[in-house]
Amino acid sequence: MRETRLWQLHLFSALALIVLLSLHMGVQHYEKILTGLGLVGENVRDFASVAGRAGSAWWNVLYVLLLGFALYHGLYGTRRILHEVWYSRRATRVIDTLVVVFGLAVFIYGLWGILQATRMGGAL
Amino acid sequence: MASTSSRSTAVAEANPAQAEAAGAAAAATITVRVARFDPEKDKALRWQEFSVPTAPGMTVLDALVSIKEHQDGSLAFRSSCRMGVCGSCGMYVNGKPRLACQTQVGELGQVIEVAPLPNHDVIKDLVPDLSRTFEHHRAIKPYIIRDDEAEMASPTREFRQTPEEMERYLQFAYCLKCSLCVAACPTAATDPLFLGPQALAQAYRYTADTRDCGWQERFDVIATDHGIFNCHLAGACSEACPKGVDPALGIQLMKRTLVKGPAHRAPAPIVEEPKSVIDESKRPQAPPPTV
Ligand code: SF4
Ligand code: FES
Repeated sequence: MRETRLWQLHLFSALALIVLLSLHMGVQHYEKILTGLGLVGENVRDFASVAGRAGSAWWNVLYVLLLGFALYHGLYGTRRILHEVWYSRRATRVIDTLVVVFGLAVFIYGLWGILQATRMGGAL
Repeated sequence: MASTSSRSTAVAEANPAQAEAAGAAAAATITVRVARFDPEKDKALRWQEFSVPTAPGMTVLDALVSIKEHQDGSLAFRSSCRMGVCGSCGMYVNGKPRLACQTQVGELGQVIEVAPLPNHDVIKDLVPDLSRTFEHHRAIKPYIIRDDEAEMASPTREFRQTPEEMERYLQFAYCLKCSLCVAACPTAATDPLFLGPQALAQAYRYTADTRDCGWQERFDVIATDHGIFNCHLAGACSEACPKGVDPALGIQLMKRTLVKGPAHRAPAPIVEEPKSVIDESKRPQAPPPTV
């Protein structure tokens, strides 16, 4: 049942990415829509606005979730492809271990980056 | 032969133009390019061409039989029923996996290319090694599993199942184990450990059967690495199936079953003992013996 749960999480992460990426892209590239809706202020790509978001707990939660779901979704797919390229039982175990270690390392690094940004944003 | 020539004479007398057309059709030939492979001599497939006289209704299997009988007795291929029932004549004909006995040469053009099924090892010429398909099929436990072992060992009566319940798995029960779907599958092409559309669709066939309660045992086999979640959803299996089975649908329904469990929670019970429809008290009595 472990594989079923992992697959369900893969589907769920796809749904979560649609929401989170829409927000991210909306702010970074289609800010007029969000400003029109009154959800963000003007000049969202100004340094002050970026730093302001970096200091906001809401935006940081959003970015941590985006990081986690994007990593999971991408690495789940990569793992499946790698399973087909190297298909021995031993290779399967090695691939699984490498994917988990790599995923955790990148997640921790990303988390550290977000925390640094929060500190800088809060300090401004 | 005698009956064929007497029929031609009758046609010639009735309509000379028709007789001419029939003569031309009988004399028509096609080119059959056949992949050859002898495991003792060859490292890869090599192609050999044969010119084969056609006849109305001729199938690819008929063409191969003709080659074997009249031109090259060493050509190896597998067939049995010649009527799309046994699943043994699966081949790669003009770039598609097909049953040779169900493929008319008239539909294929002047040149027909016949190769062994892709995604399978080749035993000789057009004979694919189906053992991996059969191994995967066996792995998913393709039989009714119940917990009433005494009843399974020596059945007393039938299990109850409605026509609607039977409809849920019926199309999957038509599977011939011909392995054409495996030959068409892009995942099977890269990953030999992948269970494949044949076995996965059969896992659904038995899990959806209300007489069965062996779903957990099958879940443990298919929800694994190289199992059901490796399906790319290409749908090539369903297009290739000669019996109208839709293995891609079976795989999707099986995924849903993995998440939600089977539609039935307990196996179908045994049908009740039939009751007499005759009221014994009203049964006419035989008259008393007179002698
Ligand atoms: S599902 Fe169709 S193509 Fe696949 S083995 Fe069964 S009959 Fe053949
Ligand atoms: S010979 Fe049996 S299916 Fe073709």
